[in-house]
Amino acid sequence: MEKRNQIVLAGNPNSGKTTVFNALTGARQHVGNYPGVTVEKIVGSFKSGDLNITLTDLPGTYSLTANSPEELIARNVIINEKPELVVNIIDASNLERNLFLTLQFMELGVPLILVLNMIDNARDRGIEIDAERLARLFGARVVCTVGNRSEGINELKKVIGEVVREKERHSVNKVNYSDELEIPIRKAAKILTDNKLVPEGYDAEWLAIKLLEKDNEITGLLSALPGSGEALKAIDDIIGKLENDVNEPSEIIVTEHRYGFIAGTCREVVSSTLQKRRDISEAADSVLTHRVFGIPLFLGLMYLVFYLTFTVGDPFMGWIEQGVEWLGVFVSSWWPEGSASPLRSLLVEGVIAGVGGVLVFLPNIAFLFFAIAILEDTGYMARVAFIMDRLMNKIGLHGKSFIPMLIGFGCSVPAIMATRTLNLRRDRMTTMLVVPLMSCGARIPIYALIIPAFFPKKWEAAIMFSIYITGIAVAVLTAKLLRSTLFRGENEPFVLELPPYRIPTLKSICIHMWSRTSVYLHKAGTLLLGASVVLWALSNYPKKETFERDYAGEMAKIEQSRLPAAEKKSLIRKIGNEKTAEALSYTCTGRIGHVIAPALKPMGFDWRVGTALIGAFPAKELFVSQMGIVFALGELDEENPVALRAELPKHYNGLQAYCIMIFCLLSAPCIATFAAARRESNSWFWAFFQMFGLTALAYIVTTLVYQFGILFM
Amino acid sequence: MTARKYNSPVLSLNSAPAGAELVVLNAFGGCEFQRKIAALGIYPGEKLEVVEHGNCGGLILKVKGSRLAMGQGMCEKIKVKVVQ
Repeated sequence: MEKRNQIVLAGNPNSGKTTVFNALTGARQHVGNYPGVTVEKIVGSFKSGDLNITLTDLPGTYSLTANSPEELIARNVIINEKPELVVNIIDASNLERNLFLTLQFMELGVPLILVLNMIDNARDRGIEIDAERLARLFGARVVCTVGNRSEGINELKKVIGEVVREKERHSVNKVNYSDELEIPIRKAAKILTDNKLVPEGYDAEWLAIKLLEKDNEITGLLSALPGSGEALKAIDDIIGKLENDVNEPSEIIVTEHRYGFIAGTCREVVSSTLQKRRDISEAADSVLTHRVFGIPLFLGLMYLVFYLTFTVGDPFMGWIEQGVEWLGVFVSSWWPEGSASPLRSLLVEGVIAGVGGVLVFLPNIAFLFFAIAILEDTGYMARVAFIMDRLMNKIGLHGKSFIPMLIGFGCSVPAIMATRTLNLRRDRMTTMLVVPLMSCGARIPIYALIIPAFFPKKWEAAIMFSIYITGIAVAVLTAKLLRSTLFRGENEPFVLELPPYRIPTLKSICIHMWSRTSVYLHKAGTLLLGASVVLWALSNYPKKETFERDYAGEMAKIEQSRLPAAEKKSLIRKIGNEKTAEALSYTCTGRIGHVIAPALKPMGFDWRVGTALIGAFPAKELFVSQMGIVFALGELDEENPVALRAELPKHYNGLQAYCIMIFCLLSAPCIATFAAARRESNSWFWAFFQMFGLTALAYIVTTLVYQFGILFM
Repeated sequence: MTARKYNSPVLSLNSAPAGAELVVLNAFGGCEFQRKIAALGIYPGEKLEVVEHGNCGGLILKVKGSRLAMGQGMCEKIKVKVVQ
């Protein structure tokens, strides 16, 4: 096998790490998880000259102390996997804070390349960085880039190649703190070395620094070693003496020295040419995070997003509809007119109608993800978390819970994965349990089917909005209930960096949009395809051979009667429908639907809706294809499920339609969400709890809505 | 030690005036909390500025050239003084 060089990419959140990663590796990426933990591991590859480089994107962190799972992983990757090189992405306009992490890589003594990213931003703000001098001070190559315009990326590839080839010539300088800290570090390191307390792969001085920082992980690791008691006690004395001398806790002393070192470096390499001025981001924030206007502005923006989702998606939907219709007719034409071939029925009514009926709504979903990607990439999302923090606090959630909930409007699976940013289990679990109440993209097909069918055009956006608001309201109440019963306790403190507003590139938005949309498409190709076939079979078999009434005879009688032609036609149609209904009642789905129908009655649903709801269990959007199958079978002439919109109002009223949407919104999440919840909570109990809890909730709420609604009908 | 240099009253971050230059005195909370905010640039002796108070005891502050949004609970734990 050809040799691959392992290197890692590291940096602060918001340093443009992902942009550089994408620019380096292009589409050659693989997303997985670090073993045992739920932190995403993204691996990509590229070539530098004749070298094959494998690049791992470390989670974005501010430090390498074990403050969070991300930080622990970042540092364990470096200690255990020994990458040949760490490429440290630095936001050039924010050098001081970013170098805090850099310094910790230097403490680890790994080969390093410093990438001054977004250098154009820094220059605009009048910050000039002497890259050569920085390189000499740190003993690391320095490359300037503008990630989103791919500037400096080729240079970076070249430098990576050079450093990997001539590793021995590129060792970082050792960080020397002033004696106040350096002496205790050396003393502690010597104690560790003398007592053979330096595990394989670790450096004594680095361990000493971590002990001074009171890093739980390292303290635990060392105290588990045999004979460590005495030595650690001696080190504790050193720490105690230091704290006594300086009159501050040792972890603060370490921080101060690090920032001191950085401040010294910055004085040497940074020159500021412009006077500090209030930048555009600040001006924008004074409006967008305004204490009064912030929330209304956000709600207005969301309304706009959902309004556009429908209007922009419409023409594209039309094209896909026609395509699906054409494909159905085309496949049908392989068989002679009126053929009853089961294969034809499977292909046309099962596969094409099932998957096609769902694909039709792809433009809506793609546009929604597109809009969310814009909000994320401009930096607005971080502001939203901030302005919503108080509200979220009131319902017992964290400001950061808001981001998963917003992603939940696209798809619950990435949303549940996004709860990883919450550090406390009670915050995380509560968020995870209510995320499916955020109306996800898979429910859009249901709304997009029902709303135009039952409500006038000018109300469409408002009805849609009311569904979303219902979901949010129920989520709020549920979260509050959970936090005051099962997950009691204080909130985690809220702190989040507000990156400067950026104009996102089309490329990065598209990558973002695609990574989420592809989840939906993948589902359509696998889960939905399989489920469509199964559902088709369930709603076609067993076949009824002998009917209770002589339908053919009745039809013939009408045909021969002297009624007007129009009346004849409608009577024949009615009998035809009755026949199909009888046939359908005989099939598996029909039987299940009939069995559960009495239970569904309080919500205003009939057995057909019940049948479709069973079908919607693996994935919400299956409700549409299942209705399509149920009603296509219920028609004399073979109609395309796209015509379902015209058919539904003949069977249901607006209230029932609304209740269907409410039930689909609130009830058990799809299989994929169930699996995600089980994985992320690491518990079958909570996954089942979510599934049954939400279904019960949906039943109660929908029944209330229906029963209350019929009073006014 | 940092405290003595500035002759103004000790304030919690959430009661500090917006726009004034502030110096961090200390932060109450475990060493994990201290390390966490230190990594963001908030540690004794560091200067910062409250950009604006949010709708709810939370605020936006500027430290080390970046801006942070912070919730009420956290602000209460961080003690500062106005630099005169």
